[in-house]
Amino acid sequence: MTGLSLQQAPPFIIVFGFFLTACLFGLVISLTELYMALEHSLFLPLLVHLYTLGFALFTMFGALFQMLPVVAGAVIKSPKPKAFISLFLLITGIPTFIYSFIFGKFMLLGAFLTYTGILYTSFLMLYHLLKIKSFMPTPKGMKFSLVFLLLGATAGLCRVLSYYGYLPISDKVLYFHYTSLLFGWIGLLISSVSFQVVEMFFVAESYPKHFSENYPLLVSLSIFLSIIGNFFSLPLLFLFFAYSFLTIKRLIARKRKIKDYTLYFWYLGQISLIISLVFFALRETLFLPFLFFYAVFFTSIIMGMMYRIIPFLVWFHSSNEGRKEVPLMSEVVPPERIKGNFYLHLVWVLLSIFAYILDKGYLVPSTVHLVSSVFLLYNICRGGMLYFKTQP
Amino acid sequence: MSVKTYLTEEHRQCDELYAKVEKLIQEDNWDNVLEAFDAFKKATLLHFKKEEDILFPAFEETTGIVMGPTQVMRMEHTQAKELIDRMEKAIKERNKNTFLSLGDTFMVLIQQHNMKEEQILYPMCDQHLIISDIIESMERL
Repeated sequence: MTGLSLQQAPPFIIVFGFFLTACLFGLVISLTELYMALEHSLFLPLLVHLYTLGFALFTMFGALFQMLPVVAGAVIKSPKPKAFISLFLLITGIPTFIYSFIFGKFMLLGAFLTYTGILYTSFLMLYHLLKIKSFMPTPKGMKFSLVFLLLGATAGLCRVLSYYGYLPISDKVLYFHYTSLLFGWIGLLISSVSFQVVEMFFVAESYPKHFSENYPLLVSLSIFLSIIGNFFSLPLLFLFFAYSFLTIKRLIARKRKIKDYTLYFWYLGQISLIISLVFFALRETLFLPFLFFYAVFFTSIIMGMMYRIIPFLVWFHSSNEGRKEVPLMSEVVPPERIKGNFYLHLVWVLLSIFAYILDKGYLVPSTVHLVSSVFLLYNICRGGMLYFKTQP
Repeated sequence: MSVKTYLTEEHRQCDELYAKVEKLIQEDNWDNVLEAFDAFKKATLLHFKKEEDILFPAFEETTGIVMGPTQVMRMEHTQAKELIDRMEKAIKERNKNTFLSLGDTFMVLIQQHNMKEEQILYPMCDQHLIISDIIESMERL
């Protein structure tokens, strides 16, 4: 343990850079959805990778750069060049990979660059996390989720290699790829962070100790168990259902009763997670609804977190640097704008459900999603720019 | 009892006292706000004092780490105190929006501060210090 120091809080530009890139991908996602709605077509692999690689990966890496010193005391020294390498590899790799889905070219190049970016960033974070002797649920969950990111990305690379004929095509590899990334990486990271932030941000009851401490290991075991077959995925579903149930219970019983729209993002995310788990059990026929609700789960939680992290960091860094006019969190992103973005997001979700049931009218939710994505980008960008504007 | 258990319990008590103030303001129950805020302010400042006067000097003396975690914690205490003063002013002016805005910033600051203390600093103190003496000294304040 080297201890905390002011230098250990990573520069604002790092987190902002990752979040801004994620928001730009959010815009690309909604434009892609709009194009698909106009063309009456759906290309699932493209959309799934835009959501997971474009939106989730960038926000989660950005958040981890910030959280590692705070939550685990794991300090990445000289974070700027390291974050730049990570961003560079991912910013070149992911669009190339996405391009290959549309035009059928450069898939191997895109996959290798993306894989290298994931490998580099995950090992960088794991290296620092493993040096710290912490048995708290959140750092433990971070370690497990980073391992699943590595495993899932490796399975993804194997899948790409199989398209080129270097490896045999295997459905088990595909299953492991998406299960480990959706549940092991995204799901486990969000739940592990919840164990810390739900109690603290909303002044809520802490999660049962045995549950939070054993959750990462149990989720890991159940992911491997689920490979055997549908029936064996029940423990995995049960664990995530239990997490969601416990979270909703705590949010309802929270002591801070103030109207806070970031909380509504949490509710929407948790309800969507529960619905997605039902569809996951029926995934052979209802895989698309599973993916949709799972995407609503993680995008909602991520948006709720972004709207807390960016305003706080602008205030925190400006205040630490001794600036004269330090904007408060509500001045960085006013609550009315968070409220507006929440309702846009909610309307997109509801209209998408109707469009799916009716099997028509996808253009309307896609347009709403575009407005919502532009609004998120605007809010994060404008909020972040306040920090740079007040620099002496 | 460990330093971690003792001071973490105080963190939770301060959180609950703050939540009460916020609830009263949300309900526009201004007659009772100042009293609730005083209780919150008193508890928070006493907690800071216990750390700044007893725990941090003991930690610094034992470990020899002077410009490390305790320095960051002291600086965040100063930031928190400044926000508490501004929150008190907002209550006296019955300015709900300003209070809630300051309160939200205060809560995120204090939560990430508590997180660092509970996860990193307190376990270090438990490892290096004679805990019973420290807790006894803090109790006397």
